[in-house]
Amino acid sequence: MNETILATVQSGIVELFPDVGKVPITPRMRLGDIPDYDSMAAVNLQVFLEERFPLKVSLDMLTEEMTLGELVEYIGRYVKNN
Amino acid sequence: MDPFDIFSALKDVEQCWRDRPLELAGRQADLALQLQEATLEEMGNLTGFGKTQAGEETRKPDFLEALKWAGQLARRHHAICQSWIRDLIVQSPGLEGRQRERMLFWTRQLLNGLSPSNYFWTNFAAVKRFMDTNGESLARGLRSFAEDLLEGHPLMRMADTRAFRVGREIATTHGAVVFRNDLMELIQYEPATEATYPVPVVFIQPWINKFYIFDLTPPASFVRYLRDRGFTVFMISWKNPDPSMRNVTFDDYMLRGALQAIRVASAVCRGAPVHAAGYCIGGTALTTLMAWLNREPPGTARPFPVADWSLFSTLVDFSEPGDIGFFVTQKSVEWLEAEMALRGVLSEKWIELAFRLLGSDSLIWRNFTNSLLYGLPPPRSDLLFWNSDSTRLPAAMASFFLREFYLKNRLVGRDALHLGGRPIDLGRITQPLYAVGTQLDHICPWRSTFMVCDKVRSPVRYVLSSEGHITGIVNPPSETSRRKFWAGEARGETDSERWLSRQEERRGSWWDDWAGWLSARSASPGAPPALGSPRYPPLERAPGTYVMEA
Repeated sequence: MNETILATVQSGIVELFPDVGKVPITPRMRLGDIPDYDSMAAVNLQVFLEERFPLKVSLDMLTEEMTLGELVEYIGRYVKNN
Repeated sequence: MDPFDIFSALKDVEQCWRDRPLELAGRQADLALQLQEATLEEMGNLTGFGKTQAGEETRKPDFLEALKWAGQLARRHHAICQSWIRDLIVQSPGLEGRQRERMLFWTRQLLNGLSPSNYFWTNFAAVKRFMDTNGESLARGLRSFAEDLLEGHPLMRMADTRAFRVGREIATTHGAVVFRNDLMELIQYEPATEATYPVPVVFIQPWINKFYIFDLTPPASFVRYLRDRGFTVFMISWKNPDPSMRNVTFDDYMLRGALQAIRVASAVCRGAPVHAAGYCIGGTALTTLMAWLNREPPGTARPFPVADWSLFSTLVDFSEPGDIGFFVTQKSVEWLEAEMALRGVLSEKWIELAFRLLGSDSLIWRNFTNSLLYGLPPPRSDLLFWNSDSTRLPAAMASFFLREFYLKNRLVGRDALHLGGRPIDLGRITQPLYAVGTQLDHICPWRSTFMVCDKVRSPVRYVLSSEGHITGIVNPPSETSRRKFWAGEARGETDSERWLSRQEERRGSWWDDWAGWLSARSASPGAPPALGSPRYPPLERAPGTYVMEA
């Protein structure tokens, strides 16, 4: 399941932040690696995730230090438990 | 006509390089080389253009593939030009600090606008959507753009303005308006605990945008957080000024707004002095009020109405106001004053434009790409909804604020300003202060907010939070929080970096730290006060009337 989640998150990042360019969007990527990632970018990502997955994501989680792997794991856990 | 001194800064850069034509030519050659290298490298990545492996069939790239490649190449060229221009400005010989920053700020605006992602043919995702939907995505985007344009939003709406209703989905905490004048309503929230601290918290909110940033959806509500921990909370909801308020001054906001709110809250809470807390410009008004109150004429026997005070992302020393200072020049203020003379108010459109330019990458261009190029509806976000609910400013107050604070920085001069008939001297303030700055704040840079520490005689606890002007302050604690903060004593400190190097990084939100600081100054909890009092009876359910004014 986590592979599907990762693919959705990857495509979302490319669409939301086209300037991400050639930065490899892997589970090890930090959100802070997205060019100009700031709190408003986090709001955009939050809205995207809540639209695509049946979950609530709090903004304080989507900091620069969070990796995609951790985000995917969180989504997977949330979706499984709810 | 150059209200923001953009062309004068450009001319300065040009002057700096005029005497060094060889060095400049060398840089230009280097740029050409970098662009060529990037092009050749990208050519190799395009199937059919590059060399094929042994045994691999050669094939022509299809249309979408070629487009994706062109977009990628455009982005690389853009990134190269961006860093070339940045280096050219930063390394301009003899360009003075502030002028250099001004040039960097405005070129960043231009370069953000020129990003290939903002244009249809160089944004692959936009073209792909167009093909997948038979052109419907772009048609939808153009329809939204036309609608937004006709309704006065040329930068397109940032949020789904139909997703929330004030008083229904946001600003829902129960309470009542217990005082109203022509400038503000004062809301008192109902208690949530059997016992409450006798000292209430009074929020002096900014009058740029609405008060409910502290009462968004329940999980993010600062009001609920405090109420659930036994505090009685009062909140100022300012009137959205109309032209009849053209002569309303900063003194009015300080005395008929902040002071009046504190006096009413204190009266409702059996005369207790209050915890006063101001955010952004509300904090600046609170600071002037604290200086004003500490200047009581001799022989006045009134008890001091404020037990302690807190500032959230507040400037009192405007010597380094950050990016927002680039909008405030002698000429731009004169230009705005001429505009305000006609309208009586500073239009919310100008304020919104300035704030969106401060984060143009997120607040203008990403929004534009989503709404116009992808044809997606604006996001359903409580924070962005609040951000779009702009307010106007009275002409007299706005002119005073821009001139006396931003241009002349007179609040830090001893007795340099006279407000409410008294000279203002921050050095007379002795009541304990809790001040919060946020790391990524474009509006009130944290190092500038730190400057309050040595301007007052108060004991100061300073807190630096991660995040920006809004998200660093609206920062509810949660199990998943990855935010951090640094907190420590800072009385008389002048060096923010040295102070920071002594503090320990802590995980989570600073709210618990503040609640602890307040409760230590709140005496023992007792029976909650009634909602209002015989003198200040409840007039209306929260969130009241003024917050609804467009």
